[in-house]
Amino acid sequence: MKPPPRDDANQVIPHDHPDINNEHEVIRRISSEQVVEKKGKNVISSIAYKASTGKNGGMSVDLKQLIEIDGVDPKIWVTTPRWIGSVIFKVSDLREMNFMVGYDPILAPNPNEYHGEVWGDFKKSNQKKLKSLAIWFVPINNVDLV
Amino acid sequence: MLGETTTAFSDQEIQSYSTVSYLPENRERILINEPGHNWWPDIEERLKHLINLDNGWDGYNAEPVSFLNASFALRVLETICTINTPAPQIVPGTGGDLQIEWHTDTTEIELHVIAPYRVEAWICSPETGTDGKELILTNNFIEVVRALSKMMEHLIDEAAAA
Repeated sequence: MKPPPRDDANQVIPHDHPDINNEHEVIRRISSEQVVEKKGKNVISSIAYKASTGKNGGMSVDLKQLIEIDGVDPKIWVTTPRWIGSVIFKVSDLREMNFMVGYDPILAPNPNEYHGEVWGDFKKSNQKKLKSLAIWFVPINNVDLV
Repeated sequence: MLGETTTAFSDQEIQSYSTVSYLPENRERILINEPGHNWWPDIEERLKHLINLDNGWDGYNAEPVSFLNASFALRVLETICTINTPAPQIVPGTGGDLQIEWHTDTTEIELHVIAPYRVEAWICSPETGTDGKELILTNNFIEVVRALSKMMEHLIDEAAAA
């Protein structure tokens, strides 16, 4: 995978990476801290489908095909060392919503060479759409997607 | 020593500030009470938990909720909630931010505290329609107070109809 573009502070600049194909998928980890009770059901809070609030912040994901190329099981990768739930998105669906899907390897403190970001407008209508497109990858017990 | 008082400033110093006023001499204590909601201790516990989350709690590199944001959230709740307001739910964001949420059968209210005085609100109720209403708030939460009040009205109507 070609290295991502970086700014003067060495932070990855939001970009749509040419080596991430539309047929690829991205995994979004979901912590049980972001589960809320809604109309008698446990569901994922909308805040899980938002960008991080920092500079150049996007929505963190793992790039599934990149994990598989290295012969690693994505389900083990996203649940190790910390067990955590996750959902999966098709890159084509994200791009149809005008999101950019980029590569942003994390070096420290929790290295993740398969880390990517989704950048774009996380307005409420897009959060709702993301919620409707999400499919469980590693389900959390007793939690519904919507 | 108990029963004695000390003065950090002389009367002359105090009189030079027009905003300083004397308390009635017979008033011995001024108590600042905890807000009366029965859910208040749970919310404080939840916020304590969120500011003590480990770095990377989300499986990536998320930070715990910042003390400033947690403190601001408490002040907002203290201001906008009445004694009858149902307990909110509080979820962490990944950059020290947090979201305060209410979900009832008729109404959804989400307050995303990005920083003190920087809040993105979303209100969805019979009054706003299904797409809801998005607001950027700083220090004026009147729309949220109105929405909470309407939410309570709907809850009372539902209870009466049941």
